[in-house]
Amino acid sequence: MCGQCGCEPATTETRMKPEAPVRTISVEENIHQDNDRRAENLRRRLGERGTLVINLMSSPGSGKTTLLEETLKRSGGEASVIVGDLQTDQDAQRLRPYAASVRQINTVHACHLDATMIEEELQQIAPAPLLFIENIGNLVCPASFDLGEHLRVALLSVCEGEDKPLKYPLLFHTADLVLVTKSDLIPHLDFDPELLRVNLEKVRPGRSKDVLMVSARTGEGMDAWMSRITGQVELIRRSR
Amino acid sequence: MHEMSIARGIVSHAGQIARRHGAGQVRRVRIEIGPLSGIDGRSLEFCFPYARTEDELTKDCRLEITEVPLLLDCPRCEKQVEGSLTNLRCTLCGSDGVTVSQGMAIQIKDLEVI
Repeated sequence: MCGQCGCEPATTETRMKPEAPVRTISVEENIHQDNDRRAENLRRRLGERGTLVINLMSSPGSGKTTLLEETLKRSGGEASVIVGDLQTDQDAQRLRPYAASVRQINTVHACHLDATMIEEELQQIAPAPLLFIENIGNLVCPASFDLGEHLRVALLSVCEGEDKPLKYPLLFHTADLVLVTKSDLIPHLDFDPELLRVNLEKVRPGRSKDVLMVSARTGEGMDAWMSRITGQVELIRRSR
Repeated sequence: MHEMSIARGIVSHAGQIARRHGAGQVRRVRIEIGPLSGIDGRSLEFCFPYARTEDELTKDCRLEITEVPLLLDCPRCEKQVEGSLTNLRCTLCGSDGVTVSQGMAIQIKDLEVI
């Protein structure tokens, strides 16, 4: 102890401490790599048990839940659903009568689902040949998050306009399939299917065939959608 | 808008890397984003200070964003070309078989630490 004021003497370490050198750590890592790793595990695990995972993405009000209701009715109760919304369990209530099991995620503020949320919900989901994930209604953020799906589907209702693929290119570029919904409304709108095709071709060149026109209300295009699903389920079964 | 969750991810990721390397403090995180990263650089900059926690390692770190162009690999030309978001084809031969080689990720390049 210091004889004059009683303070503790400075240690050699603190008295002599040199200025810490600045250094650079090279990283080169994608910020989504943790989510992508979890998603890849989910895809493999669910594929191995024979479950086809379909991620439905679109803006709010494009008809995801109505399409799902009609899809589930045609799936003979062989499907489970995870549905994401900021608030309420209204979608889960609508879908429950037609599905093996339904889980509602309320993200409150978050604008997308991620692979960790799907991992957690899966523990409560009965295994079934099909698992639909109805993403948060949003054309921006969900596109950046792999959920472990085998089929990534973008929905675009005819009321939204033909320009949406150009305004939200990431979502339409990364989708395996585009469903143009509410096709029964076309006679009442100025919607131009050819202009939509041209715009989709710009962000997903060479994949214009992966577009289906559907109306969950009249059933138009539902057979083509269901056979696409059946084909994918077969692929998963055969690759086990 | 998911810039806040991305900002939190960057802070936590930077902290883990720095800890692994025995660093005392992260002064700067340098990231690269591109036109297909699904993120707005200015929103991310706005969110970043609010994403920092009390963790001594990262509480004062700055974010530096470099915006990189969209690059496409064309298997037909065997060349890399700069692409446009609204026309994802090879700008040399028009091929639709291109793959995105840069501009889709949110990449942490490096950390400046002491």
